[in-house]
Amino acid sequence: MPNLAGKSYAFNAFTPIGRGRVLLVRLAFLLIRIASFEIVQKLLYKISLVADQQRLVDLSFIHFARWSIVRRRNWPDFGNGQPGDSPVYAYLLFASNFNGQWEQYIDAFSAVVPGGMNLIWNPCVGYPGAKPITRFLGYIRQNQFDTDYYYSAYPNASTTDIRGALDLVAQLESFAKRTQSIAPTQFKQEFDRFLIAVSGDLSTTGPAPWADDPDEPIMPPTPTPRAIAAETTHEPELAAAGASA
Amino acid sequence: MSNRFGQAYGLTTISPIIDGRTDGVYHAQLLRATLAKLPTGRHGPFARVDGTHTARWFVVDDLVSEAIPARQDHLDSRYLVFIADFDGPLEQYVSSLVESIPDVIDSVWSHCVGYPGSHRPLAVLDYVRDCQVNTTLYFGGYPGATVDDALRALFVQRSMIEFVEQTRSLPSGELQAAFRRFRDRMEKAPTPAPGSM
Repeated sequence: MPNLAGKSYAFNAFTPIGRGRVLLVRLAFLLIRIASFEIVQKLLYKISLVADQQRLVDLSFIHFARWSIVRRRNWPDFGNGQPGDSPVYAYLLFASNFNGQWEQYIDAFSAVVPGGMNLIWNPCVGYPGAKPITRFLGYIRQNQFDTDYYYSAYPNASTTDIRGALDLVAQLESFAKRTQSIAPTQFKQEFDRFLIAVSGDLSTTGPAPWADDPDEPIMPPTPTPRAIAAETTHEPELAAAGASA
Repeated sequence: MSNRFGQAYGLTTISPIIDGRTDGVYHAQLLRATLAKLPTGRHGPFARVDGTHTARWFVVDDLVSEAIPARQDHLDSRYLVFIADFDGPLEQYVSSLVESIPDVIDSVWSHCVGYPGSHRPLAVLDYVRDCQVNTTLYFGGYPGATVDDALRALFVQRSMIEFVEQTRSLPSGELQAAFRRFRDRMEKAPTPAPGSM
């Protein structure tokens, strides 16, 4: 499955931008960039577009995502006897790296930031709107290009794992400095408090249930009844049933 | 309009694939077969290219035409799209590609028109720039974190879980000593290999 690298999915879509509407797409991205500024987030958080920015960040399943406008003249022409291309439309290229299956991803976009999606894709030809979801999914599916090769430096980690891990490192540093010269009994109390504070950061990484690497188990092997019985020997009846199975 | 998000650089290139065949096989077909054989994960070629967060290649055979009233749109050539997220800048990354995996990039881009070959590093940089499409909006989930930062942090996270499980019932004095040893071990541990976490 080349669209997948462990838990990460590589998504690509080219959607045609209506003729004369490239400027509208640029304007949409300019507004989104302005909405992402911290000061704008603080002052204008009640405006839908500004709130969408924060919601997008909060979705927390995107490693990296980008939108690029491929103008008609952007298809490179090196000559060498091969004719260049100048398609009818300019295209919006959307490429993303996220955790999960793509239907869930598009579903979440449609549900959480429909205004932002509409702002970006409205100038595109055939765009049905972010809601209802079925037509939006169909549009994305039709314009998706499968990935032929995909690599991720941390295939077993989700975006949340990485954010949590980075936060844990920062908190660990601070805790170590704070407790450098305190008494052991006080350290124990402080350590317990620290663990509660970082409990949300202590997620475990590992292969996804839909892992594509044949060397990695897709799911933990199903335990045999004998193994279950061995683990539950304190329950004699169950152990006996497992052994006889 | 920016190709950068924090320290990360988002590179997108579109390269025309050589039209026609070699030994009766189309270049696009050969290219896809080459990509399908490349190893992934920690054995993948990009694990040897410093600073690569993610990288992908895909072939565009033609554009998708929307329903009427949209006009039919077609390409005369097939194109290879390369998309990568790495710890910038671009010049350093292309140089790293050429030095670390010259055989891989040659086996892929040699099916594309105008590719000069890794034996001409500066020409490869020019080629990448000629094929580059700028990013209009770029977004990252963990701004400021390099590949090494992310890998080390994931290693600390995994080790911390083990540490908590192993020291749950230790008395106070031993816990403090164990924590100091743990911190020391984390500081001295090498960065995990890219693709291994």
